[in-house]
Amino acid sequence: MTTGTGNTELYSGLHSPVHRLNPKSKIVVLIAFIVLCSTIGSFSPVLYGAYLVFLTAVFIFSGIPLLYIIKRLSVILFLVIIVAGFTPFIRHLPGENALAVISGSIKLYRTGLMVFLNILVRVCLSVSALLILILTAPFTELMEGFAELKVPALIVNIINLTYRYLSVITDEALRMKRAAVSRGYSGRWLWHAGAVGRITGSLFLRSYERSERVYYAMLSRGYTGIMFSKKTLPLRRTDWFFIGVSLFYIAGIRLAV
Amino acid sequence: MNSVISVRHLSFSYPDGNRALKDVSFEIDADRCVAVIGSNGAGKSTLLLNLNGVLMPEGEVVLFGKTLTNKTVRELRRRIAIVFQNPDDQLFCSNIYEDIAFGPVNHGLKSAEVDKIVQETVKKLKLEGLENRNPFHLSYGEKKRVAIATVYSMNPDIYCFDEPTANLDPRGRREIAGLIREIGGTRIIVTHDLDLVKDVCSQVIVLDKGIKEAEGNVNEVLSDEKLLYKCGLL
Repeated sequence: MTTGTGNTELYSGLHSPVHRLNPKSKIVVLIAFIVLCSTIGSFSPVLYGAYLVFLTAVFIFSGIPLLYIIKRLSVILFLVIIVAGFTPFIRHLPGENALAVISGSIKLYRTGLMVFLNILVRVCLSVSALLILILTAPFTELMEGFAELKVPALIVNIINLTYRYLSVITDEALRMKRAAVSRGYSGRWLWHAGAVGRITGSLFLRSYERSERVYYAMLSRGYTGIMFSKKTLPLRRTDWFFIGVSLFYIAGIRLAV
Repeated sequence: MNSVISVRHLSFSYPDGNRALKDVSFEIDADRCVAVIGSNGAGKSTLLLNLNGVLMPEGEVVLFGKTLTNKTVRELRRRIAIVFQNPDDQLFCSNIYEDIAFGPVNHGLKSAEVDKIVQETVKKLKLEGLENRNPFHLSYGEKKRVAIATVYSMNPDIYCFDEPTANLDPRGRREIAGLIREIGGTRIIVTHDLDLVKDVCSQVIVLDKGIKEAEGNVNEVLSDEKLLYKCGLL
């Protein structure tokens, strides 16, 4: 029954020092981290090492199981490999000697390999940082944090509503699939493709109708575009300390190297 | 006259041309609990959406002596609250607290006041401990209670309930009926649960295919088997 949303809230209720930080401070540091990390020009073991140390430190304080991060990361890695996996065999400087010849015209180049490693490490670091953020704050507080940091209300509302209704829609799809299965559908044969189409279509229509009803419910309670109760969480001394130390470290190293 | 709602020659057509309500008129006095009954598709829910101006009616809807127009709609909407049939439509925030706070926030209350109202509502509707939960993880009965809480926090003068007992088990049904009685004030209940009508309402309006078929006190209308049969309620 529980799908999607249950997972991200899995560890958000823990009480580690990282969980206790104000979401705003974590968002600020995360954005700085991702920007600095993804603008590193060429592969730099020292910088990446330093960033890994930073992430590891935050991670250790957060109390999240390593296995969970690795599992989540593997999904992204799979995508990275699909998208960039060919680079080591294609990208090379004019006249560059191949590192190794795999077979015939398929050759491994150092330049391409470095580009690939660069992307891989960057993605791993950024996504891990993002995972730590969303696993250490309840979703609502995170959204409130974004709203307080002046992210446009429309965007925050869209994310919020998507999050809220994702599970409802998944549930609906599951129920429709069960109804189809009870009437002999297995999804294994080509002629079952039509059923998938119809399920998707009616899911879309149902979502559309639901969105209308939700909007009516919002209007009935005086909706004007504001979604949150404005209970602002103040930044405490530990938050400022966290922001200061983190920014000093990640920006300092970047400038120094 | 102390009628708080007067509806005069109300008609409504959906954009697809479906005429959901035809020339409906009635009056509702303050502090009455009125049932609007009718079969599926009789126009009951459309009527509710017309009363608070989410759908703009043809004809006239007068609440507390003020005609519902684009100018008065925001003020009047605060005073007439709808509890929708499907709580998943009503609970659109990612936790219960935000959902209960939604109405008060929209009506411009300060966060300290909002917090106080939410705490009071939670206590009154016995929802302690659910504040930080995601609506998705509640039972259907709990969702129904929370849906009522989200309008209770707006302290409206009129409550409208759209099929409040649909899909509930007997205990859930009993609890919701008790809650409707406890809330008091002017209430409109749209339903085809005739036992609920006998339980909590004093006046009944019967709709059939968008037309008001009958109106009267509960015993009178509910004992007219011919009428109920004709309107698909028996």
